[in-house]
Amino acid sequence: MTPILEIRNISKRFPGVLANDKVSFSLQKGEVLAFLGENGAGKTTLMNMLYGLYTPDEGDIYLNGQRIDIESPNDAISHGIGMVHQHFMLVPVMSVVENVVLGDETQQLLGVPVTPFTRRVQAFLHRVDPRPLFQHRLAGPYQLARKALTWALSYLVFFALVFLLLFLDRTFAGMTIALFSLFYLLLSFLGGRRPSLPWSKPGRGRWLQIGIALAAALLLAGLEEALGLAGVVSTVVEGILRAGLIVAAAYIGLWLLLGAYLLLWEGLNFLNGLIPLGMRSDAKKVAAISRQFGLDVNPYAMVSELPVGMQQRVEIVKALYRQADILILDEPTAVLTPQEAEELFQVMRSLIDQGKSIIFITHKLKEVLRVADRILVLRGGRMVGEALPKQATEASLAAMMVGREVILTVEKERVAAGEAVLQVENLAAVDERGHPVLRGVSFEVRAGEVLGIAGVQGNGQTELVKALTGLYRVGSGRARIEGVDITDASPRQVSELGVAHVPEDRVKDGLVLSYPIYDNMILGSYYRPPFARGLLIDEDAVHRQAVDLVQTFDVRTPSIATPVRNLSGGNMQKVIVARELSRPIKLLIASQPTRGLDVGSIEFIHKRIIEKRNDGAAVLLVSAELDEIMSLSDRIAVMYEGKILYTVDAAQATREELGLWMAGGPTHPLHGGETLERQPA
Amino acid sequence: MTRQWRKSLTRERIFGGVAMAAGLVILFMATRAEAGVRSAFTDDQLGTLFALPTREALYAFGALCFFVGGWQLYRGFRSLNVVLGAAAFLVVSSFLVWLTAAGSINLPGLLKTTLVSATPLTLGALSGIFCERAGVINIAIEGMMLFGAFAAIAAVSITGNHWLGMLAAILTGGIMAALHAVLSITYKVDQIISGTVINILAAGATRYINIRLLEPAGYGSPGPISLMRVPVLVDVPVLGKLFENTPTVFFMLLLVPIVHIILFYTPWGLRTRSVGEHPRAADTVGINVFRMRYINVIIGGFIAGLGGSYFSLSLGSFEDNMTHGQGFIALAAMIFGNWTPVGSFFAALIFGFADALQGKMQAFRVALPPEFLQMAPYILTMIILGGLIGRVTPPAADGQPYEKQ
Repeated sequence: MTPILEIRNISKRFPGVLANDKVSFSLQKGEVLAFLGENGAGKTTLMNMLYGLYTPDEGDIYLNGQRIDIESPNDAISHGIGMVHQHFMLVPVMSVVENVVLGDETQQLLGVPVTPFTRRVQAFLHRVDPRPLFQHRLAGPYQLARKALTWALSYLVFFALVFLLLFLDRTFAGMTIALFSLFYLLLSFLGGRRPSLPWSKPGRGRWLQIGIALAAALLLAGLEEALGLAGVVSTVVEGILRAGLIVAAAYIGLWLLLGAYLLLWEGLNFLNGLIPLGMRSDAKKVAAISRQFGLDVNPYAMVSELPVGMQQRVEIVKALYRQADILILDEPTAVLTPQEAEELFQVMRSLIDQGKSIIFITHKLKEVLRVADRILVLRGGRMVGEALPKQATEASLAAMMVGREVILTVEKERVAAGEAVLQVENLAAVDERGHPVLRGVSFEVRAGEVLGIAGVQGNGQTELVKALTGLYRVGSGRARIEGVDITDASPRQVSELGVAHVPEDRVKDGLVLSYPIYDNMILGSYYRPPFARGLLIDEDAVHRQAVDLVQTFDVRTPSIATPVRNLSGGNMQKVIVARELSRPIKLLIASQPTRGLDVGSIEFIHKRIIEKRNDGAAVLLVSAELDEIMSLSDRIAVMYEGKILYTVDAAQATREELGLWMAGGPTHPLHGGETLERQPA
Repeated sequence: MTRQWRKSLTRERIFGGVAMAAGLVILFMATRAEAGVRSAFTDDQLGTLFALPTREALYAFGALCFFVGGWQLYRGFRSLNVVLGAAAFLVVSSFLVWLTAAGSINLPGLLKTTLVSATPLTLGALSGIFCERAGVINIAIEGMMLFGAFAAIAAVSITGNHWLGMLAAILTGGIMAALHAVLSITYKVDQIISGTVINILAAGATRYINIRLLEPAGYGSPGPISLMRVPVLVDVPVLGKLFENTPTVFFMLLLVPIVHIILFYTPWGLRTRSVGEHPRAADTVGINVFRMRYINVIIGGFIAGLGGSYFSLSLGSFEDNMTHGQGFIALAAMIFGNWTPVGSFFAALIFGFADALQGKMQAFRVALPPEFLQMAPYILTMIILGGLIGRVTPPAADGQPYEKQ
């Protein structure tokens, strides 16, 4: 059977990286093909090439046995390839149906559907698109003529200006030159790209040209004065100018012709776009698709008001509306709760049942084993293996992904928990609109234990961590560290008490991206010896510290002076962890410490967290990954709508039960719907 | 305690309080008004339309305003806009009554001036809407208008045809917009700076060319464009006056609904908005972000040019800096109107009314220096932008250059 999609030897190079190296695979009709790989393994690059966001440097794509070129998302769409991006491509302030039809709208005029007509117009316009003419795509005589004309014109303009400056209207020529120079300077200072005016091409040649032109003009002027050759000189100059005018006219004519064509084309396009939308019939179509695949999407809902799982379905509808047969799902479960992920898997089933094929990208091993028909593993841009879920295990897949054995379960011996380090009592807070985000949170973390806080994103975990680290104003309640009240304390007071904080958003809150690694390593301790020496910073001490930490924490970087902006996500996180854990601490607050990281980095960071715990520090771990919570924690608390609903000893917790509490608990609350707390055994 | 108080200090309550205070001020003015004096509202043809007894009217308006504010504080109206509208209407009416005590004011004239003053503002705002809905901030409306105003006069002087002048203004606006587009879309220059460059360029270049080339050639003042009369409607009493106006006014009145329909009911509008909100999403469904932005910015330039032609064509000559900041007030109207054509039109009418009133106050020799009176529209701009506007939401990608991956 011919595969519906076949990729042969595709390569893609970026400056300095080979993102995909001769990747080949095939997708059968009605199959869920999973791609596994670490961050930077080239999965997303590969998919972006299939969707036309990148073009491959080499290699071929075959659709149903026919070779196709995919140069833009439009091409991909017209070949029946749809993609659900990791970061949704939805406009929040528009309705579902507007988002779905965007770019492929149904049109009607006075209630009469005219879409077939407008489509035909669009297709025709696409064929006679004049833009390639402007994009240097035409080779041969046209290019040559254009180059020659540009060259000739640029010198003539320059010559004319010098001539004007010397003989005719000094003010006008001076003004023009000054204006152009200013304009050029402005552009080069402000713009990302340096535009080149014809006579100011960079390089030494420019000054030579300017010099020659100036000398020629001066010579002419001198000749005229000295030899009384006024008539001759003027004739020569006039001749040159006249020739210039002809060239300029030809040049301008060419461009005017092209410009007129472009204007006509754009005008037709614009007019075609003015035929009103047929929203109502579109909404019906969206509803029909939604019903057909069991997606349950309301076409008139505003996207910004939908939960994340529903937004993802809108993305799927978007692809189906464009008649996609092949759906690419790029890390679809990264943003979903376990329940939502479960629903997504059902949707995927129903898509497969109706003859669609799915490419599923992830780095979560459990999911792959559950939903995939076939698993392909990418590492370092290369295809390193294929597996069938029945024959593979999590460990074997992880080893394939990373290239070595990976310990997936965190080994930790039981440590007797000590004194309470962090005590939180009835903490409450509101957000900037006055809605409660924390509604009376109480818990304690003891020395030598990890308390994991599970919960779907946006249930108050972010605010809880910020409140504990002095970054969020608390409404009521108290938090104490070893008896010291830290409610509404400043971040520095908190950190002086021996608290390390690994923030949720490493890019926004954890690092100064433009600083080098060594400066980022001392962000919390620069004001104290050994880094501070009086009013100055001891550069040597800072560098020594950075070299030391980069080594112990295995940060992969060319040098300690590299700005952290240039590091990968995993290495950024290692810089933060290194900074926070290098101090003697009593409490570690880690928020989503491994979000978006690959198996290797996760393993490393998990080990460090457990090390700290074994050394007797208390650890508060907040994570949306249930697996992470379950493997690291000694006790687990589930947070829901600003409250801790449930606390359990990690040894007794099950995924199902935790998942249930993360969604708000069983439908029949045991104690009249109030906070339900089961203390650890 | 303070936290509690601050929480309860919502916009609704603030407006209630403000309305009550305004009511008290009006009542105070009523006590100072002379008894038995009437305020007359007149029309050119019909004579006096109606005359209110100044003192009694002020008492009534003040009490009503106070009551509206109090009710808002006590119970709250369903829609804040109702309170706003009612209170504003009462305050403005009282002010008019107070101003015309023992005198008369030409009501249709006031309306006409309002509409006329609002015309360039609305056109400027529409221009801004096209640009910003597509994600390009345009503070160069002022400059584009000035170029348009200048080009119109130049073209009329040379060709002798006012319509060609208007066309020249439109095209010149488009060319300046194209410059803005090249700078801010292709070269990703900061859009504020790019706009400022155009504004400065407009002020300097038009003045220079006007003095150096146009005036020496005797092309300075070709005379104003003739007024347009809408048949039938122009004969309606009182309001008929509005229908004898510069053609630009009618174009503006046509453009407002047209732009509204384009923006919200056509594929073009949908794509434009998507490009201004989430360009990458638009890109992934095959919409060319750069092209959409270019064209919308240029269309915006056309409209700004048309707005600019209003200044010079209705005056019949070009003067230095004749747009005197209206482009910026147009921006304020656009923001006040929450980036919608209809909203911006009403915002422009408010500013236009402030402008008209300012003129009337000068005529009534209010004991304030005229310089202060001329500030009125601008002060109103600041108050509205600073305090009165609730939550307006600009397009999410407004001002951010798009980079392909």
